[in-house]
Amino acid sequence: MRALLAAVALLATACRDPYPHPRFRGAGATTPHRGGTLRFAYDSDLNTIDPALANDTLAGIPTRLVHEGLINYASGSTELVPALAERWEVSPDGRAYTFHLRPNITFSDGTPITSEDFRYSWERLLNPRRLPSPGAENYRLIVGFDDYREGRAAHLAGVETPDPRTLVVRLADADRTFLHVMAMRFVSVVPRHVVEPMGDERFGQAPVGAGPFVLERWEPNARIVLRRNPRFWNAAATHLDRVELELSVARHLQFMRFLAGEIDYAHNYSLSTADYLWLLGNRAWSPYVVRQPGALIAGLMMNTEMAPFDNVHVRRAVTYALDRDAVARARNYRIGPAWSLYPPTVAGYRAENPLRQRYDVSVARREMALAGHPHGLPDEVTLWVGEGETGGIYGDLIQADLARIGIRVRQRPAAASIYYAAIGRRHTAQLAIDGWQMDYPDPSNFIEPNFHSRSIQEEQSSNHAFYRNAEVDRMLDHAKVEGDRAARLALYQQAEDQVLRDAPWAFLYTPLNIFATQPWVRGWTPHPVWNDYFGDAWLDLPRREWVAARAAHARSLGPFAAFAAPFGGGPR
Amino acid sequence: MIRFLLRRLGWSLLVLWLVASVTFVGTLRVGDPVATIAGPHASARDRAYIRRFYGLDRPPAEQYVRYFGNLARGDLGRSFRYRRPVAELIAERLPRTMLLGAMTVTFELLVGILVGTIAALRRGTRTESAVLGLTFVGISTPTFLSGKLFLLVAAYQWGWFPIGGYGTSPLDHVWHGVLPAITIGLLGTASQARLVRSELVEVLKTDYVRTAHAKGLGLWAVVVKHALRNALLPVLTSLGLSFGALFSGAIVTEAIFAWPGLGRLAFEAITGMDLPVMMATVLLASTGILVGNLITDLLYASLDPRIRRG
Repeated sequence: MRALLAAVALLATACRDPYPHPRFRGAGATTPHRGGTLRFAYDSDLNTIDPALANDTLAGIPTRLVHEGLINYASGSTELVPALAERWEVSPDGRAYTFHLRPNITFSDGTPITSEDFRYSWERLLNPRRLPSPGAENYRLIVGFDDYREGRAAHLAGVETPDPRTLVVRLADADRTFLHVMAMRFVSVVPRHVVEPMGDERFGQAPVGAGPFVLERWEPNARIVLRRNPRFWNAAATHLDRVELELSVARHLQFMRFLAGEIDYAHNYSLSTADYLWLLGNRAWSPYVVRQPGALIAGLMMNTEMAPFDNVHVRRAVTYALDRDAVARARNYRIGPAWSLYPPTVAGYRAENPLRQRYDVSVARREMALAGHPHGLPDEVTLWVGEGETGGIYGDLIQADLARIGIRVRQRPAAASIYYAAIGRRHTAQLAIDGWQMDYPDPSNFIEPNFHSRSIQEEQSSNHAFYRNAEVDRMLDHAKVEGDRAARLALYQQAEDQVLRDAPWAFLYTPLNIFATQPWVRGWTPHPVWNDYFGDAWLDLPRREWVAARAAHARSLGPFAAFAAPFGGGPR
Repeated sequence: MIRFLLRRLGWSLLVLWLVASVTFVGTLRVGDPVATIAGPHASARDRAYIRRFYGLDRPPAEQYVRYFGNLARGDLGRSFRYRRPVAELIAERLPRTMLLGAMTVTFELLVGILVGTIAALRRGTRTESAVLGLTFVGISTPTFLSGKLFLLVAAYQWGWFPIGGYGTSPLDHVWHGVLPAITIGLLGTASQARLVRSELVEVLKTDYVRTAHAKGLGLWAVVVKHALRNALLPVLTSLGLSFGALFSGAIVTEAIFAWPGLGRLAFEAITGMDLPVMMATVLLASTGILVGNLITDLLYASLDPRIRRG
């Protein structure tokens, strides 16, 4: 009997929440100061810190912190600012870009950086016999690209280095998005004297760069530790001594450790919906939750080459039939409803536009009548959805909405690789829940891959709707060379209007990225381009125990508090 | 004995080759690794270059011959995702999984034999019923549930153990490994305890145990020196045969506790279509199972003289 009582008491302590408050708070400093280690975790493993290869979300984080390029985005903004280049000029015809490097810039090992280093880094990136880079094609407009890629030329003809501090890049065609492409991580500078002796493969594991941090330690699949680079060109703006990133830590572990005060930051991928709702509902935690619209547009893709979606009225009917607010509600508002192509963080977004898609079932039925199907479609249509719970939520809602206008939908869940192969293949997927995550924050990056006829391919087409409109193509080609920023934006907005009229997609949502930080993490805002960029964060140290939280923790242990004390750990 | 060993080895190699071939053919059908390496935004031309870089543009038969040619020379190939030799990746992670495996087996044996012996000696009491009930729970609880429960209660709520991870020093590694080892070993411990109990109950009824008692030997000497020795044979068999379960338990448990071992590597290779790593982990797991069986046979022979002579 006594044993039973003890077991019940034990179970009771297991049901209480040990951390109803943050466990520690900051010292109360108001101005940034140096010091401390910022810790966070990811649930997958890091493969490389080579800027030419880093391609997934996780690899992008340390790569961005260790390496630096000519141009960057301002803190918390999509505005391009000088990085290793102090300034640049664009020729009037938009085909020549001249970059002037800052004086006295060095790699983290102290070796000076010259224009030759950039040329070396780019030729390394673009040599397909050397590196299987997934990003090379972004630079296809550079003069001599094909000759160099195919091995017909020893050097990239379009890159000139008239002196150690000047770089000239010549393009075969004008392209006003080129500066964004030059701000991508792929073209960061890497040191020849380090890469050549160790080889490309080793370099990804032991990188040397010119970014704000230096790789200090890498325990495979367990953690990496980055140390502040005192030779960084903007070293005065870096406050953290170290960034420690733990690898392959499952989401539920990350959240437990976050609550226990062991990691400083819970990013979008570490918070399940339940965790996020719990944080928001908790008054001690909710001030430390940050939300930011993601740079992704998701929608219901309709294949314009396949019946019945080759009929514009059917497509328009679908855009009117979908209740986006219900979709956002079903995802507990981790997403915001979307009614047009460009997400809110991207230039060109218009909150007010009469052509925006909207939810109106009566108009949808009218469009079905105009399409010649007043009583609905005779045949079932197939909707491709991603495998898993969220894919199913969208699939079910769309199925129900479309049933109301007489379109019967059969869901076809598929694993990611099969799904992408299918929606990129001609005449294969009628309907799919589609999405586009930006490469760089420019409207062209949203509209061209998805809606320019040049993006149509037989296989692996990025224009999944196989949508073509000569007028849209013309506007996009014009916008690409237009030097005037306002005129460019206007063209992208006109092209968007035409896409909205032709309705190859029913736009559905943009995600809301959710983050939570510990009270002592300061000066950090989510960056609209870089994931988890901590270049300018600082820690309000020494952190102090949140007394009420500690007491609550002790109580929750009940009779085991004394026993647990040696293992519980105090403030670090 | 030598001939027996050689024949067993020959069969093992044949089984390995079959397993590897089936896996290889299977991987050709499951999807396109280039799609995963390149990501959804890479252009068709970049994909073509990547395909050529990894030799994936060659006909399957040629890929097969090349892979097994390299394998015969002891080269496991290079990971697509990490762009490093697979052998290196495995060498980094194998010691960690072996530590976890050793801790698991230790836990299984210590607790399993102890609990089983107590239950056998306390036949017909409430202790025996409790042991049988608890081991039943242990056998029926899936790893993904028990692991998360241990983690939530013992690590997070009570703070007795670290909340997952691997730690930084050797002693720290062991400390971090306690909960995962218990999780993987739960099923094995429970079945060992039941096995030990039922074997011991039989052995305790035999004439030689009665004789030992009659000689005036103490309970300890009778049970440990005489009875257990014979009761342990089936325990060893089941331990040797549980290598496969150990590995599959490790895949789930390493994920739950963020233990950076082979299980995590295998899991990420499968989700990331990293074919060379996938092949290598399958080969390694099959080798482990075959070696486990072989060791069982050899141990059997050394523990039971009748097998050795026969």
